[in-house]
Amino acid sequence: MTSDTQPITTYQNDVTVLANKDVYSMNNILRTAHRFSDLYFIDVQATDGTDVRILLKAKSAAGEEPSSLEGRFLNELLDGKLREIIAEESRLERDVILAHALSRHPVLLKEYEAAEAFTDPVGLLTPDET
Amino acid sequence: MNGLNRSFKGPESYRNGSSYRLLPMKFMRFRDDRYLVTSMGGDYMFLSQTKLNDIVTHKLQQTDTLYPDLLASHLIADDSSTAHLDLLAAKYRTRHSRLPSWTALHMFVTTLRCDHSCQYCQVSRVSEDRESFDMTPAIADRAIGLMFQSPSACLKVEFQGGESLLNFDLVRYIVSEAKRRNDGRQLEFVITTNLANLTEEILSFSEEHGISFSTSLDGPAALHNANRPRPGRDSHAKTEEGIERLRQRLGKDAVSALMTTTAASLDQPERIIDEYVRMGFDSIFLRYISPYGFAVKSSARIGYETKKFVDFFKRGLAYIVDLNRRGIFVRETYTQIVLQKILMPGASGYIDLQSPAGMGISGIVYNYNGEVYSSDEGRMLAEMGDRTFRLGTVHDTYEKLFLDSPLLPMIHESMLEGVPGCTDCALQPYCGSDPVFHHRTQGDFIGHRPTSSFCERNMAIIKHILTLLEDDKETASILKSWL
Amino acid sequence: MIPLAAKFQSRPEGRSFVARLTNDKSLPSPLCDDEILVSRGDEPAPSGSYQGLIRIAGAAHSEEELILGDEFSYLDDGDIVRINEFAGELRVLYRKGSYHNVLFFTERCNSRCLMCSQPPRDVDDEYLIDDILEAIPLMSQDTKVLCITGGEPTILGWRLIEVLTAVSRYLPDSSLHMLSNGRAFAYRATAKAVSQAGCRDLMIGVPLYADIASVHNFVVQARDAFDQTIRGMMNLARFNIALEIRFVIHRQTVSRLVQTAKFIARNLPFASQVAFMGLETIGFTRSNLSVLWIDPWEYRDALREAVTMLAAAGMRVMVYNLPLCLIPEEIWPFAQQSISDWKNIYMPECAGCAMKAQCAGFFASASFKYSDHIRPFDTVSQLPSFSII
Repeated sequence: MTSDTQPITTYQNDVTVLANKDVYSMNNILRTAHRFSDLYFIDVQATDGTDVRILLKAKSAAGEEPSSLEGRFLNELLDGKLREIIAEESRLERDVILAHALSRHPVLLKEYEAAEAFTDPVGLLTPDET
Repeated sequence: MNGLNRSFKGPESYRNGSSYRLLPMKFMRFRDDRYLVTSMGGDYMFLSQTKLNDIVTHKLQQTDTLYPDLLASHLIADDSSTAHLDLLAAKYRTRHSRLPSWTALHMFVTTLRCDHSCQYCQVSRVSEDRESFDMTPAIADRAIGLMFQSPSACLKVEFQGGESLLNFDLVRYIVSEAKRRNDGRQLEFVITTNLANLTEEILSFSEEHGISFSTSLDGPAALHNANRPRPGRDSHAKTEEGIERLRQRLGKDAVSALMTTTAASLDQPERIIDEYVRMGFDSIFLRYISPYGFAVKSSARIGYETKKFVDFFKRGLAYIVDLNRRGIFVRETYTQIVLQKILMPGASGYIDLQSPAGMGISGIVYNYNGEVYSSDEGRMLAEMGDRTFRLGTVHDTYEKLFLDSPLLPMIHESMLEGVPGCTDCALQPYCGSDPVFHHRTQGDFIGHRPTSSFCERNMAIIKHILTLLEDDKETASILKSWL
Repeated sequence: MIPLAAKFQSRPEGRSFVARLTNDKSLPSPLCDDEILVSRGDEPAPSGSYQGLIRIAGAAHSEEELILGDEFSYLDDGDIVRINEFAGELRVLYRKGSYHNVLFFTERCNSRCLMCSQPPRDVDDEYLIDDILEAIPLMSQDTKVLCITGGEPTILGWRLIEVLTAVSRYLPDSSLHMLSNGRAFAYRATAKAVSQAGCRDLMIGVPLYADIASVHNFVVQARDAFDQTIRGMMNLARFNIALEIRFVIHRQTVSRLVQTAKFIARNLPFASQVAFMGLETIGFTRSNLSVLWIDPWEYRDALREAVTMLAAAGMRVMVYNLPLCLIPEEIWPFAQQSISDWKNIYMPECAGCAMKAQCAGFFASASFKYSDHIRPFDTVSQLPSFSII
């Protein structure tokens, strides 16, 4: 990562993005910023209000149009927001699946795992009512 | 339902009344408005941004045509079933099923001596000095002992160099010893060689012991000989002659070939592929050049940007598909590996595309001088002075090498589940980690994904293959026939 | 089509027994205990200590003789029958020369599939198992395959294991193919018990009608059946019991045909084989015909996609019960002559077809309703040589 140690030059197309903390989590903002760290130096600052200021400084002069860069960053933030919803909502099921995958003992469906052969505790051998 | 006998219940009785839940999923903007979404089990779907938004914000209706596909791909679940828990858990186990059997591939560097002086090879020595560069039977004995401590039911012994056959006596010794000491494992032997020194004696020994061969073929004679100089500049002719002799003696499948892409290869993928087909191979592996094999001084001459390799790869793949369309059956190996990861749930044995990293777990290297490395690339790095991936020597105990060495932390650090940039990546189920590569190019085992050329190359290739599967039915059916 | 049961004058004081047929008129009496002597036409019937006497297509020579019509002339040495004189009933349990011997276990079932060819009845029919257990020791050692069917065999509990054990002891070289909805194997111990019965070559055919629960459960008319069947299949894999996944194609399943193939490749790759099956228009299918019938011609492309996808994924694939003229030539190598000989027919349209010898043909019941696209082939088409089988 040699380029990170070079002195920072400011180019025309540096961009500041404001993200509302009430809408986007800090975790999301940082992850999103990381994604842009290939072509930009990044500075994230809290403001007095509800905004977080993200400064994107191009590493070279051949940067992207500022409006397009800002739009792309905001879209990524929105993607990050969806990721957080997914992670939050699926966490329990994910943990159950991993526990089920890695455990030697049944985590799920103990009645199926523990029943003696040809006993039918859940009653599946009886047809549904018609 | 109209027409259904009244003693039967209609389909509505079996639909779920409740709303759905989101299952773990990863997504990425693929191109235009389309998103690629992958499930925990590696199923994938392409969705529009609007659809993805609707799904995540619970606006999707059960009547939506996508609803059953989302259920079946394990991206969402509802109260109609809990089978996804078992299926996802089983797939997770399957994908990691190689872990319990631990190391199956054991590479023995029988000598560093070589008659070639290839541009991209840093490790070999053109030398007659056997004492300095050959593995001794005593070292081989220790290494064989370590190999049999691996719990794997199958043991694959690969002879590496240098030119492994310049120390054929040791090859013969290791094969005989391994067979004599075999405690019921399935043993397999592969000799990696440039075939220039193939003798009648080697042929009959290989025939007797069922040994197979892996050689290097970089393309047509001009390219191959430029990449792989040897006295007489006849490497290509020697290789071709060797392949022919091996096939006549041991059968068509007894020899496989690997190519390395150098800067000189980039504008001639078709000619390279033609050369493989001409020589009767039904697969070719379009391999990028390792950044650790060659000296810094030659890197400017033979290295290239990742983007150029990706263009080369795509052009080569298109040509191979076209050959298939014309009835010439030939596969591209990396594509085949990626396809298996995308379309089939089983564990892939390819070391560079595994998470946790394959090194040490799937393969281990016993160097000529008794040093033990976690991968062949790690050993090459050591020849350049960086011993990060050295686990110890053959005189250490098995436990020390595998449990009390840098190996476990390296493997642990490289697990994609925890790598920044990978945790959110929709391609994660199809990708892998390569700690040696990232160590060499970026200074740590994980790498900085936004600027990693490993990431750039794999992303580009996996996305390209997914695009072909999605957009082009004819190509997709050709690719699927490679599975 | 051949008849497998016959009615005759009942005898209130008569016997009921299982015995093997023999053509040997001079069998030494110690060997006659399990044998029924078969005479044909006007052949003389020597006396002996046979269990019984049957005459096919002839007038009775004695009061003991049971007379069967000409349609039973296929009966041969080594075949096994149950004769119930009390009920005036003969049933053919086993035919030595047939590749399609079926052990019919029970009429009971815990599912109630829309297209069931053998509608379940909740009756006490354990006598069927008694017959099977009596017949197995009489069967030929050369028996290649026995097919266990029903009803749902797992309903019989440990009696199923009794039969599996008997087959493994008396017919160690025979293969067993059992049809089950697989739901009971959701119980780990039940799957394990089957794996321990000692069968050398047992495969269990389990139907899966969709990749999603709501459709599968509707087709089999049972809540939770999908989950139980999936877990059952996984348990069979766990205990190394070979699994065949069976998908019957009709209007209620066809919309998930391709997706189910993909689901199988991704989730159930341990299956030994996958069978796609044409609809048999008998039983419940007739009651529900308008919601089930689809001309196979309409789904031929979907079938091709499903079959080639699974084959490409390295799975063994079969196409059952569909005539060659209704499926794309590309998947002919997967088509099996699957219909049991005793209910296999061809249509008038098949007259002169050059491919008849290689074709599955039709269920006898199909004359009720069949495709509009049946056509004879003029020339014998070479089956494509590629096949993963």
